[in-house]
Amino acid sequence: MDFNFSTLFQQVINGLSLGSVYALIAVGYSLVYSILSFSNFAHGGFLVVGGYICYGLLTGFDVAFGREVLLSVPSMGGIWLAGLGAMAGAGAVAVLTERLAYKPIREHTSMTLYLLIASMGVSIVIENIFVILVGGRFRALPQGTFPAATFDLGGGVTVNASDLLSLGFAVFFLGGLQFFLMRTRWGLAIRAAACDLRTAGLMGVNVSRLIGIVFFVAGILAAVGGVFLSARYTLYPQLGGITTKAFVAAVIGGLGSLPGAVVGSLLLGLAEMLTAGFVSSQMRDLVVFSMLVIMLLIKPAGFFGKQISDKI
Amino acid sequence: MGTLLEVKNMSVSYGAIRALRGFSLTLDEREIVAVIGANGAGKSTFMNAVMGMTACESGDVFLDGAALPRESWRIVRSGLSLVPEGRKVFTTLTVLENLRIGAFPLSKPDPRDMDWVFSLFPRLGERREQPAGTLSGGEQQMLAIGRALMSRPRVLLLDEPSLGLAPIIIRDIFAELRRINEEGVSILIVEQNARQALLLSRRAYVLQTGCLVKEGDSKALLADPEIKAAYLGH
Repeated sequence: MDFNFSTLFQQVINGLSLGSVYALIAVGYSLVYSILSFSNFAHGGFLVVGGYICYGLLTGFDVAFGREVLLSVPSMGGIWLAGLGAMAGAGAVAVLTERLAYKPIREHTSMTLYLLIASMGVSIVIENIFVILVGGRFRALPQGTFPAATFDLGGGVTVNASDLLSLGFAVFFLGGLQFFLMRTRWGLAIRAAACDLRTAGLMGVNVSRLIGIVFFVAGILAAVGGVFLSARYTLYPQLGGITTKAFVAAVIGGLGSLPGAVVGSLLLGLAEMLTAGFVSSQMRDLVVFSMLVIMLLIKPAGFFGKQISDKI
Repeated sequence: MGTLLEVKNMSVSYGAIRALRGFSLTLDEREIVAVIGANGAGKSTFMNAVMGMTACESGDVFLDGAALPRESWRIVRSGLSLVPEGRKVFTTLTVLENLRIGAFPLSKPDPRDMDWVFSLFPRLGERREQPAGTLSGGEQQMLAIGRALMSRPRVLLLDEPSLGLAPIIIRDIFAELRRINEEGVSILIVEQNARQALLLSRRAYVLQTGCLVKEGDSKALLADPEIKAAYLGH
């Protein structure tokens, strides 16, 4: 493919849009890692929960029950309500996962490896719950969920309204997270806990509730990512697998660091889209994982990571 | 002066190792009490057990005659505050943020609390915007004490506050502890630095491999030949 500036510009926009969705997911990985020092591989499951709740609300749950069991929401505010429902649902599932699967382990051992393995188990459970409930088919969000308009920026460069939307929402939610962490009482407690969880308990912080809040926030962000990813790639029970890339982005940025997660995600999104634009779409994943390998070789802690302990 | 804090018959084991055996202690209102002993005597174990950080095999802790709750965060809310061993300041947060997190249990933090901490430790005020990780060891210890005071404790517990600090800094910090006590905060201090702890406190308990071996007035203990030989270095 020949180099030209309109392709470059086009792919930079696409890359930022994809990277911003990765960032929503990567931040969730990093947030949980910063508090509990393990990579929560059930995070992709939260995303799928969000995606299906959104799809269900938009279509009146006809997938699960074979008919419309309740008034579908398009008539009632459409994607806004469905999105809110997805966020609340995924947040609740994230909290439930922590309480049922992680808390009993946390209370018995400080070995985070067990949490990691449990999270892989939860991810398989969530995936298969959806295979049983709604089948493994690929589903597209109903037409008209997101505006289909494209804007011509001249010189053959076009931007999809949905790409702009996902970029805008990602910025909005990441900004919201930043506000929560920097300006609120519980946000301060979370930052303290990221530094030293045990000592945070000595400050009168209910650590159990704090961990619940962290999972709820991670679940909300995963749901937003899930809605935009299902708009981009369609929805299926294994969609959560895509969070592998967000995880790679979080590692490249430095696990546990939120700015790192955002920077890593944008880099990854750009690298993916530039590869697709100038080399070949099939090389995207090769480039992504090569970046991970190179990063781990030259700077194992990532761009913003502090400790170089085992990042699993 | 009534009894404020009472620990009854506390035992803690780590597997087969009994770190603390049936230790009892009382702390009166506005009193300073020290627990001294060598490394491994069970002093930190005792502090962690009082704060709910380590599970007790047996033993009860009462504050004003009421049993303390089990979870650390509830214990802090009921009026105990620990300055942990090794200071444990939140290194990535600023001095100001460390103090603010100390006030977490209060529904309405009072700005005067922070002014009080800055009047006790003016260097913290000068460095309020700095990340706590950039402070010197002595300043971090001051910050850890200030942070613990922000929850307005009735009992301030200190675990080895002199650890790793220069003698001149230790003297400053212990002087401030006396001032804090004069403001009405009772103090329970655990120290390897027996001399400083005995000079500061009114009464003291001596622990040896998890057992109480001696207790009494700090002045008497300072003059006690056995204590002199074992803990005061001459």
